[in-house]
Amino acid sequence: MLKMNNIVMTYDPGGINELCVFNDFSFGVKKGEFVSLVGSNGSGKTTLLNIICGTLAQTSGEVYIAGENMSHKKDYYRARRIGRVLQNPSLGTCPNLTIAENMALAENKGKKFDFTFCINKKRISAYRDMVRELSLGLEDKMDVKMGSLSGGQRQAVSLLIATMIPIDFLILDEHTAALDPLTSETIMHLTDKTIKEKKLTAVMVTHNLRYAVEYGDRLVMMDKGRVVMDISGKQKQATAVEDVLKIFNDISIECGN
Amino acid sequence: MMEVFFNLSVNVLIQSLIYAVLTYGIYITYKILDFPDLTVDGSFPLGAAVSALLLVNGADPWLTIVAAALSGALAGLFTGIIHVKFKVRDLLAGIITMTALFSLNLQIAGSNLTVDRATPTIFTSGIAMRLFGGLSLSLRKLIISALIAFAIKILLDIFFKTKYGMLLFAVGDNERFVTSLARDKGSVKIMGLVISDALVAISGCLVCQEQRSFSATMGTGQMVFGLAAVIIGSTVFRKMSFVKGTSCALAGSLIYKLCIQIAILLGLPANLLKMVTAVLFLVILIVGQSRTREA
Repeated sequence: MLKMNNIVMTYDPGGINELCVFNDFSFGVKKGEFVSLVGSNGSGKTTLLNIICGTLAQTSGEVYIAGENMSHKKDYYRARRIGRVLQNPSLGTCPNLTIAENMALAENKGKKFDFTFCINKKRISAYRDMVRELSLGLEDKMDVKMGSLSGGQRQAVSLLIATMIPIDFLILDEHTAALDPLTSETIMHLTDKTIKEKKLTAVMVTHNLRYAVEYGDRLVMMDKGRVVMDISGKQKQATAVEDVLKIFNDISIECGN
Repeated sequence: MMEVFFNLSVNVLIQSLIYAVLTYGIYITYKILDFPDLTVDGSFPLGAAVSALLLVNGADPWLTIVAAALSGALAGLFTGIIHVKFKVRDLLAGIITMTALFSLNLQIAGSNLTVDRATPTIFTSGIAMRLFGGLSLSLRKLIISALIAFAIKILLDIFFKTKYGMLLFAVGDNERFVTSLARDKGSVKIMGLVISDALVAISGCLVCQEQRSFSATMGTGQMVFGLAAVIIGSTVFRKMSFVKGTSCALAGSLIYKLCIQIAILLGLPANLLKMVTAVLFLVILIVGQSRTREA
């Protein structure tokens, strides 16, 4: 589903702040896999996601998504195949548009944005059913602006919107980090349910090692632009949070933190 | 006395309706796209210059509206490309186009161009005379400008409900969301500027036909007027969310023109008009801000 070959990523090449994040980095994700990606700050997780989505251009190397060479494609072109939920709940939707309007726009992703009416009245009940699935009581608030919802509610709708039309790839960029523990638990549960029901391929960056161990079928740990741990299947099931934490600490101590 | 008062009121209404078309444009850039578009001070007289030149050369007055709209659209396209493709800051992109347009307008119509009384305008020819020929000129102007202002308002209200229209709101609200919809946010912004400056130029064209003249300086302060009108309108109706943005812009235009007319009636010298505009705008901004802080 995803293949990254020989990625080199250097910020400010030749400048005084030259920083090499990836040097000949390769990474792949199989179809239907749910990968949890962990690592300390500066290990290259976010840079990795940004290269996949086209938000950042890699210095060299290739990115393939679902067999298509995306190495030099624009971010909005790649977005046809990718759904992304970000850390900041207000970035996943339009705060001044209603839930229904946001969903109508999302449903039209990849199609033409022409001069036909955006909201098809017949679709509203379908939208309402999708929102009811979130069990947050939002089904009666279809005409409420996104901006007046709580962070958790917004993130739940963001997740729904990102996966509303069939996508090849779901990217979760620390999507529970800005939420309180209880809400974060709810969103994580919802994420897992969505990925299983819609049979999505997903990469989730998280700082919560417990989520990384409990959810997903593959766990990858990164450090200084390299993969230092990559387990899946039975091996992952046998791994406890403590084991991951130990490796994580060992790396950090090496760094002198 | 009553007649003077009546004539003045009709005149204020005509002015506010004609300038409302400009405020719709500013509503699109300032309120929807969150883009302070200074092109306005150049695209407004551009519309007037194009239509003055065409009228003097005997063109159909209704066709000059189309020509003005196209010229304004090009001005918006220019600003949009400077901003989006060459990454020049929004304010600067507008200033560059505005400055260039000042010279272009002089090239088109000189520093002043008068359309003489014999030349037909939309208020004195064709369909206007056939339908409302029995009415006085000022009433005819009132009806025609009202028809145009409301027709454009209704078209815009419909447009805002379409998929593309909704995309305009989205790009002003959250650019990343537009990218995630697999759309190029830059081209949506450019489209918004094109529509906005086309409207502004139509407004300039209508003003030119109404007062039968173009002057190179007629654009000065139009951006500030438009902003003031949009902000007044949205402040007045801020508690009533069902009132459409275009209605707020229209109401803002009326309130603004009324205030200016009252100031003139109270003996304000015409030379101080821009000063009053600036002060009025400042007061509106401060009042608007303190209100939002309370809320």
